[in-house]
Amino acid sequence: MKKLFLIFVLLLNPLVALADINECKTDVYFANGILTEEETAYSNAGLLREAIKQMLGQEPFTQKIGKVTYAYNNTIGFWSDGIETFLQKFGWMGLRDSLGDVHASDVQTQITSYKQSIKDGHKVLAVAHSQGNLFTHEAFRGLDPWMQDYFEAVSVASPMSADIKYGTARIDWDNDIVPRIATVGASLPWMMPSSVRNVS
Amino acid sequence: MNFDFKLSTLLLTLLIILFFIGCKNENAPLSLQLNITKSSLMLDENTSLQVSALYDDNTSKDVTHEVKWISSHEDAVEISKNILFSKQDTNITLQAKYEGITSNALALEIYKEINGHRLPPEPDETLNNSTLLGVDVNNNGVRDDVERWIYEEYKEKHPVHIDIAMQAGRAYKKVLETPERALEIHDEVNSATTCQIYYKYEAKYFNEPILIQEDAVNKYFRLKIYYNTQERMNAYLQYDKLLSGGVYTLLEGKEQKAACDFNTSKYEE
Repeated sequence: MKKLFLIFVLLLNPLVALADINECKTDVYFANGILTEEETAYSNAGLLREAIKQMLGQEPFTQKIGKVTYAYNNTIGFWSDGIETFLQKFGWMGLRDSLGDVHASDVQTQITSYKQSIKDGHKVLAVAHSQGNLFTHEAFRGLDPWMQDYFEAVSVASPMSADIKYGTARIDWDNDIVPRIATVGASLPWMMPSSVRNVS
Repeated sequence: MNFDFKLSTLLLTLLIILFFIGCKNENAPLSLQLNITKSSLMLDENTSLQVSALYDDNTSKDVTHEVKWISSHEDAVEISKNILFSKQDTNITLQAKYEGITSNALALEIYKEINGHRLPPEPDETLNNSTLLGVDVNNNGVRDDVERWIYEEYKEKHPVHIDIAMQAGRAYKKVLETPERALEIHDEVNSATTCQIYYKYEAKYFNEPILIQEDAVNKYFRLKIYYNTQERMNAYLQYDKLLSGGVYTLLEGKEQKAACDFNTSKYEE
């Protein structure tokens, strides 16, 4: 948990930049990874909020942050989550959707929520962990082009070779196997090019 | 002649047997009366026992030190002379036996207290796991095995840990009852975690002490302690799946504290 907290603190630099825009509030979204039940995702979102508060201070937090939310993707077990991640990564979600999965509606709810934040005049900052990067990436691509300018993301242990949004800040651990998946298939023609990665 | 001798020997033997049986019956009590000072006893405490033998001439005799004890849980108590020491918190039935006569059966409740809270007895595992909701003899909304775990696990920590975990125990019951109503019950089910977030992070912003360093309600509590059978886990997974794809907003500030369902004023400095 402390490691996760450290991740959040290290990755909140974009918020500091946003904090300079007084007129603008930012809605923060946390997107969970695999093997995470809803209440754990909730706890992690609480940890993320605390990291932001410690970084900004209570008063600036109130001024700069609109709401802190979490976009939940449920776990269906290690292997099933792994397969889902694999299908997402290689762009074969149509295969899974055709099997009756609720994946598409999951992403649509995120898109709707992001759009609402932007329509409310807020920016969106998505902090995505592990498989949450794949969902967030899909949701980002579902935004209207003009809305994408109001969307920023931070990737933690992303299995994607592509960024959620070009230039998204990323952090990986060398001893974490998930980011290593990111290099798999990066050269395949239909995969998006990887941006410069900040490996720590 | 030989036949008469055998017959006489047989009759004499019968007479001798009847004589001794008669002697024994004459000294045996009609009944035994077992009395106990306390019918409810805290663990590691003791109580006194007394057994009276009642005879047909309306006399009685204290035979406490001479009886053989019969306990439904052999390891739960230790009896020395007329003193019973409690060794396990459970409900037992106690009887005394003397001269072939068995006394009345007395029920003895041995309970455990932690931080002034009386724990329910450890439920029978088969019975407890035969239903989704399990056993809750004190009817406080928290399954007895879960309640016992909470009090044992957090007895050395700040009491808010127990309050929050018990709140979770009450709230999670709704998941077992109506997992299909996930979206309706979600806020209430998560209320203990909301409360926990307040005492872990938020309280300091309101000049209140941070009381929680390590979560009282966490993944281990949920998956290993509360949803501890396949049936309970299935209900939880059904609930959890219905929440997937949703976007949920965290409560802010004092709203988090308001999610605590116990008296929080006792923790204010």
